[in-house]
Amino acid sequence: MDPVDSPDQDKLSYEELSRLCAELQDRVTRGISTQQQLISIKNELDEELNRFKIIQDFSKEGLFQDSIEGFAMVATEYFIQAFQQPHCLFAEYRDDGALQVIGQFGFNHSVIPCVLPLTSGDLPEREGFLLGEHPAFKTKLAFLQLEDALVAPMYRPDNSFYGLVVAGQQKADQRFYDPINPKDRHAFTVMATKASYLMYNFRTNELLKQEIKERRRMELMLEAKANDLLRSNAELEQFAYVVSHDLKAPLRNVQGFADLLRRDQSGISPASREYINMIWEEVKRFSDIIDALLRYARVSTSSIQDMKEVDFQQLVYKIEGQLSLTLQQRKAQLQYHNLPTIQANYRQMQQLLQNLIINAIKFTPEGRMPFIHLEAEPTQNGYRFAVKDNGIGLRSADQKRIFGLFQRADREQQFEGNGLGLSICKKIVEQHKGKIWVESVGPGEGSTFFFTLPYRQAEE
Amino acid sequence: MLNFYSASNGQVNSKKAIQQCLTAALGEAPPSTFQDKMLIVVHCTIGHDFEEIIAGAREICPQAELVGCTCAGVIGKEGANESMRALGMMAVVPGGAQQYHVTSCDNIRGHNSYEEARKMALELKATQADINMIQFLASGIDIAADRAIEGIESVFGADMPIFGGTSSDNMRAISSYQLADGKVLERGAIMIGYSDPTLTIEMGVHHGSVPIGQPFSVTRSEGNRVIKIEGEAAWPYLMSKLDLPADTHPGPCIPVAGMAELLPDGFREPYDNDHILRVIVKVDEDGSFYMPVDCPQGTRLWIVERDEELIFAGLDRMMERLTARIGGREVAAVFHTDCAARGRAMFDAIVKDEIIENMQQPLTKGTPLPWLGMYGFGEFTRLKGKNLFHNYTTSIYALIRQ
Repeated sequence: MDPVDSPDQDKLSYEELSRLCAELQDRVTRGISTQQQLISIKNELDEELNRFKIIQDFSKEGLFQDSIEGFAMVATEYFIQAFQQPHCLFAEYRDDGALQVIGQFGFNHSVIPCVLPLTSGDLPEREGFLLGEHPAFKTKLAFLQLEDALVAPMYRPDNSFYGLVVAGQQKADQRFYDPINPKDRHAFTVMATKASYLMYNFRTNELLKQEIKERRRMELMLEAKANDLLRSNAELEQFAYVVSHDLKAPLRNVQGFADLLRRDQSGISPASREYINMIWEEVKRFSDIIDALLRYARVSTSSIQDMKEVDFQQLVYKIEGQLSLTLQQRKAQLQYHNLPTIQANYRQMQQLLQNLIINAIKFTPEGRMPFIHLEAEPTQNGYRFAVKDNGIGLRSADQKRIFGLFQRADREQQFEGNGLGLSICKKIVEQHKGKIWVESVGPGEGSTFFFTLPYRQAEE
Repeated sequence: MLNFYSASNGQVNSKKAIQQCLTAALGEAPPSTFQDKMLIVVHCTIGHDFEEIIAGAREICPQAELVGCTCAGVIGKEGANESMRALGMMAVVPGGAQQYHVTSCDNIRGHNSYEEARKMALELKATQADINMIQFLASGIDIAADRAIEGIESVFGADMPIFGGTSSDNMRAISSYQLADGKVLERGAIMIGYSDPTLTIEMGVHHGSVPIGQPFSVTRSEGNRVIKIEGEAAWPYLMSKLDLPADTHPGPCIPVAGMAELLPDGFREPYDNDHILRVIVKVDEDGSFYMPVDCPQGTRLWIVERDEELIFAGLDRMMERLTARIGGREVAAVFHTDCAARGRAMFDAIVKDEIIENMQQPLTKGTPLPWLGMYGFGEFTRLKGKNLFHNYTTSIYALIRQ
């Protein structure tokens, strides 16, 4: 049809065209909002991805907190960041059954109690939920003034209730904050689970740290006490040494004059002579005690530099020679063989063995032939020496006591001695990182003195 | 000579956020700088506690003057952050004499935009400082931005470069806040006059949208209030065209309800577009809405759609032109305003990061150049020697050391 001939039809076509054009434009503009919706969906996915990145960061930072308060602060801040809510609260279920608030963000401090008035039984769901969906529970938390919130209980690895985390918004916040998206429940539960594991680890580590700290404190205390004892021992020894040394000179003078009086018999009555003899005897005894004390004090002044290889077989042979007169007088028998060679202070070893052998002879009753047997047996860390005698023996109550200063088993003092010999022995052995003890079946049954010495002396 | 230091972060604790930013930014300056007099320009998102920001800054920089505004997101040299608690700051530290002056006003609206802006400009003028550029950060809810520009120009003349933007909330278009003089203002404005003779400014502006279909005609208006389009209540008419309910709040519509207006001939080439865009952030109950500039009866408005190709290519061309103008001169710092809709509302994370990278890289060239940007409701950017207000753009303000 020729359009020139049909103007009405032309007009209709133009109107139709305009309508179609407007419809097309409408479709295009409406497409814009559809496009926008697609972007919103993509953004939601971006946000979800970002949220899991935040949870990952929280896992890292949550591990390195020094205190539970620090941990709770970090936790609330990460929950705020992950769920874009203005308020967050973190509570821990204590052993005494209280749900204690350990961290909060964005709340007025005065409205938050230290302990939440809740029990695990009040929780309406086991996983994350929306506060707004549970009016009864919302009423229990009314003091928080939250319009809505994400709430998630936390559990320990053994599934026991461990606490609660709440993140939400008050009425005033709704001006700028979007309503809580119910879809966030799942991510909130995931983050709460992460938080509970971190908190559990923190608490466990905290207990361990406390225990280690307490042990260390005790160790330091013991160390300090040991140091104090060592210092006071050293001071005492120094004091004993100085006193003994200074007493020795005047005593020597007294002894000298007493000796002169003993030799000069003229004009002295028999009674006076007896007195002079008694003075002389007592001075000698006193001198012997001072000598022993000096020996005792000198033991600790020997240092590691004095250590050398000591052939015990040779050493005992030498002592046997030195004591030959005594041994002969008492008809004593000294037996020893295959004694080892080990590192020790020669002079002190001589003193130690001499003391033990002399004691064995001394504490064998007159009329009994002393029999002394020496042997050494290798052990895991060194040698165990034994000096066995057939002397008066020891009651079990005396077996430890006799190593103390001025302690004697012979209370009636039938046998000569000053109660220092075994103290010196003990000190020598301990100086060599060894131990000394005595075993005896009982009085009259003889004794065996044992002492140990390590193969080598550790360098100080 | 003014020195610039910037930082941004997503720390949720407001006090910690500003203090960490200041520590990070001023970490590059001598340690005594913390005690110096300085200006701190802050952009932060709406979830932050503004009082805490002020207190936090005072604690570690007691002599600092803090100004700032809310936005939908911050852009720093660290990248963009549009969370509810993001913060960016630029510390402006004078080497000697104070070469900045600040003034502010509370409650700037469409009807008083000229007067309030003029009053603030007069206060700056009264300082007798030789101000050579003005940073203007105003509420973006219902300001008449063109009238505000006129107010400033009535004091300093049309040659005074004005840069900055309008503050926003998180795109809800409910309110915006400003920080000035230790106080928090609502729907206020801040004006900073810089008087460092060693500094000049180069700007770049660009949007990547194209009009679609036929334009609508404004059939009734009063100033920046558009009452009727094609004889119908303006907002319901526009919503019907977008297939959205008539009572839709303007906030969520920002990404889709932009309006284009034809640019005068001489501006089209430097703008790389024939149209300038307008955002609508306030609607009255009678269905009228507010444009950020006067909208006389007979104005033709287009609905627009973004063109991803144009967004990227146009941005590259803008940066090429900007870097060509800067030449070999030193860039001391960059301020940056971007439309809130150009953030996550319009782009996914990957595209958004790519856009930011494409605008930062040509200027920073891999160096930590001080950079403070925000996603707001509008941008004040000079174009062809004229101060203009824009929407939906990326606007870059490079401070150049002469």
